[in-house]
Amino acid sequence: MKPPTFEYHAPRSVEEALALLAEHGLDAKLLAGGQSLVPAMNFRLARPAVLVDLNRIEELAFIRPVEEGPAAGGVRIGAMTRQRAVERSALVTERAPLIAETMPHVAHPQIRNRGTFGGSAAHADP
Amino acid sequence: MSTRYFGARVPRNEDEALLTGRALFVDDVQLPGMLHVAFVRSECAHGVLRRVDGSRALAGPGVVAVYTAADLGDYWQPGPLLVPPPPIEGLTFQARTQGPLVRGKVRHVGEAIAVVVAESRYLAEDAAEEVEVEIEPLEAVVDIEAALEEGAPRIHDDLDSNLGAHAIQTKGAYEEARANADLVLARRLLYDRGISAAIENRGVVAHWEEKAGHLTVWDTTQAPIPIRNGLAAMLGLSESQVRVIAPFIGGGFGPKIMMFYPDEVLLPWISMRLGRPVKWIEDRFENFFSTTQERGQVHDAEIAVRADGRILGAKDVFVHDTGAYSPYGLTVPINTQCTLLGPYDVPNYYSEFRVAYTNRPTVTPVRGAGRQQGVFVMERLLDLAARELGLDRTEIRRRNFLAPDDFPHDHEILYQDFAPLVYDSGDYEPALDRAIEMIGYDPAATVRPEVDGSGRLTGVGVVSYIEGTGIGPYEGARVRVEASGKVCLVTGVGTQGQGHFTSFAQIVADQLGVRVSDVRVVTGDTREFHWGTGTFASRGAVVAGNACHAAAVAVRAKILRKASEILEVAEEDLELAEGRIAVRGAPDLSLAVGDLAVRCNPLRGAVEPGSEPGLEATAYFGPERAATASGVHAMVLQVDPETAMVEIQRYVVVHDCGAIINPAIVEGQIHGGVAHGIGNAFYEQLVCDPDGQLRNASLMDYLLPTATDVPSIETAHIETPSPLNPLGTKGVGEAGAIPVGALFAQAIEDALRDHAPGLEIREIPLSPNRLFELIQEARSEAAADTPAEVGAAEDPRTGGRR
Repeated sequence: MKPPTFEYHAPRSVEEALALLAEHGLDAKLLAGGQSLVPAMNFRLARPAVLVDLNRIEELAFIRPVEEGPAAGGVRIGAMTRQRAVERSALVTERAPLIAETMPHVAHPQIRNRGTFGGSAAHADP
Repeated sequence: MSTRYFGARVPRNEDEALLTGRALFVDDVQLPGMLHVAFVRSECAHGVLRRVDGSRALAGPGVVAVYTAADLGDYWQPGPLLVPPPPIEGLTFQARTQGPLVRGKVRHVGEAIAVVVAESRYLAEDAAEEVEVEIEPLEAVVDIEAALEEGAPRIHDDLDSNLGAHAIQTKGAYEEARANADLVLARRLLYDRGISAAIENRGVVAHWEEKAGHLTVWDTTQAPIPIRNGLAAMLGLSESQVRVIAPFIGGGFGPKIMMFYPDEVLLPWISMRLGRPVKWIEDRFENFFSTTQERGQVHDAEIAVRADGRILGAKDVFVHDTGAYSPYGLTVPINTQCTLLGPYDVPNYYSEFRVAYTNRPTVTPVRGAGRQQGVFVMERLLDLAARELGLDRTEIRRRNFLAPDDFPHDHEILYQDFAPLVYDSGDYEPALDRAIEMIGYDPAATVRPEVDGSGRLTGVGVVSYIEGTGIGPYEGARVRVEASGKVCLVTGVGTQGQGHFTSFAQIVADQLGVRVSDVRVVTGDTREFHWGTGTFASRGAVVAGNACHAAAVAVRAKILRKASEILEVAEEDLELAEGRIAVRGAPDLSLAVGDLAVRCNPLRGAVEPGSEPGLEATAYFGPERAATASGVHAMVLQVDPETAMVEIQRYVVVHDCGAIINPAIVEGQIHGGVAHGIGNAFYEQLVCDPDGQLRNASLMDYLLPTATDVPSIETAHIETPSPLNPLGTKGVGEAGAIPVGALFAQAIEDALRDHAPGLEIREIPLSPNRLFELIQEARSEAAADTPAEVGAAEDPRTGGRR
């Protein structure tokens, strides 16, 4: 259960990440919390040639209130926000209680400390 | 003897190292120049290995060697038969064991075909993908009963069928008893297999030092000494050239016993060949195939009872799945056969089993070792018989218990240790009473507090079981008082989390009058102790524990003799406490036990002829036969009738493992065992398709119970000391896991008695899906029956059931 060889990049901005994706196309996979992708790589079920690690892109981790537009009264959650942060956010509890209630059902706290909201949505897992 | 520590809830000596991460596990072993191993495993369950070619793999980066069976030459030998069969009359026994790498035929998915050695595990796994393997597939044999049908594909070509064994054991005359019975109840009962799921998988590091002519092997084995002996013999070395270390191990549960797994045989050979240390750590995926498993059996059982519930006899005919090989002989099915009798007086018994080879991973004992199945059969038959007779289920058990003055009780059949199945001691009724009291079960209550507004239905279960523990042959121990006054205690058994560092220390501390924390226990290192077998069959506290006791008693005798000479007082006037030998009534006149050790090992003068230096003794203990532990488990659970989800509300264990060395350790063993049992009952099942492919080979798909699935467990102890050993101990390592399936089945039926009348749980493991199906079946059958004859008043299960 060790992954095959892959190329690894750790961009620090969305712009840099997009440039890497443009360069590597379908060979590249985005690494967020790694709670689904890394086990799949260890089983050699997923074999990306290039990994673009989003963990250093701070601008993707946030929970903000939305006060204007069609989503007014809602929240905006960045793709790299940890599941645990969503679970503990008072803003999410207030404005999107169903999401707050769902989060504790995702595995256990150690996994939620790593797993991201965007990763769950992208993988549809869990 | 002093009982200061024996029986006390002493904190564990080993916890500091374990909890602070300083304990050495096999994967912690790092050696300069160490190579790493990956196995090429069969993807096919049954087939002829036509070609295996490692040349492309060998050209990979960092690859040092690729070996197949052909490279092993004469080193390729089928593994040993670990346990020959007991002398049962008319026995058929055809054992087949596994070679280190496949030669000729592949017999289960995951069987090792080639081994790749590289500079890292990553590189080794990359290269393993490059090994070319051609297998001509044969029809796989997966179903236990189909395996024995005429014309089934043969797994071992030199046998004329897939029959591994056939054995009949009888007591009395069952057919006569049956003829006199008021009720004969027959059922087909199934138990399926799971994995042992130790938190630490298996692993081996082998280090051959050419100049020293010495091989060191770190191995997650439960039996380091037999592994040392076997490796020395296979490799043509003296036993003194081989040191096997079984360091801290994250759970054994049976499959880590002296198996001579292919990896255990190959890594030392590879290290000798390459002159470099090599490591293999089994990963979680491999564990589903390369470590042994247990529990697949199909029983056709019946019980013959009188109207008052007294058992006249029992008959059980079953098939036991041994997987592709049978290195452990008949231990598991014989345990099933014997443990079925439980704590009951069964005057007539007919038990017949056949062992079937299948194209699935090899079966050897897993915590409980066949006992679960036997308990499941007997407890189910009693539950259903009680229903038919209108008896309370606790009452039918009570009426059949052996009485305290029935011991020793001879069941007139042979147990797994070849000794007659004779129960040494026990007292079953107080345990049942205590469990009933703790769980709050009232047989007379007609209405129970079951509706809490959630719509979930409440059920209660109460079952009994026994376990033959602590079998021979023997273990040994050496006790030595050091100059510091601290004590070194060495024993040959390995340790996998049982608390040996504390319970053995307690035994010795009591004899020598030192603190438990001043007894340093060394286990699992063949350089430290030459003789022994290992940790299995719930035998550590019984066999090794009594060896520790015997060695400590001998050292105590020498301390008293020597101190009496030096202090010039009679031995009877001496007492040992706080690391000192003091004279009763004269507290100033005393000697530190460490100082006495120095005086017994003088630099000048002579050690008396006929005596030995120091304060040291070695002793051995071998029990004549197994000590019979027993217990009653009870639970309250809730079933959601819509989803079939089950939640355990309360769990009670009343257990008798004889004299208790450390209640905290005993309770820890019980808690772990119950958790294992809950997994077995409701979560864990290996789902195998007709081609022998495992469909759930990951912990994402194979469900283990988590902390939230295991309730807080309430325990109480009954102590009937075993007369078979000086300490009076019985084993407890497996007990917690044994009756859980039977208990679960009974409690679920109880919960659903009105919702799904007639529901019978005849299989374990269950799952919410399977339970849902069973509920639907029972409901539709009940609906079909109701108008015709079974009205509520005539339902045999309503009269007197509560």
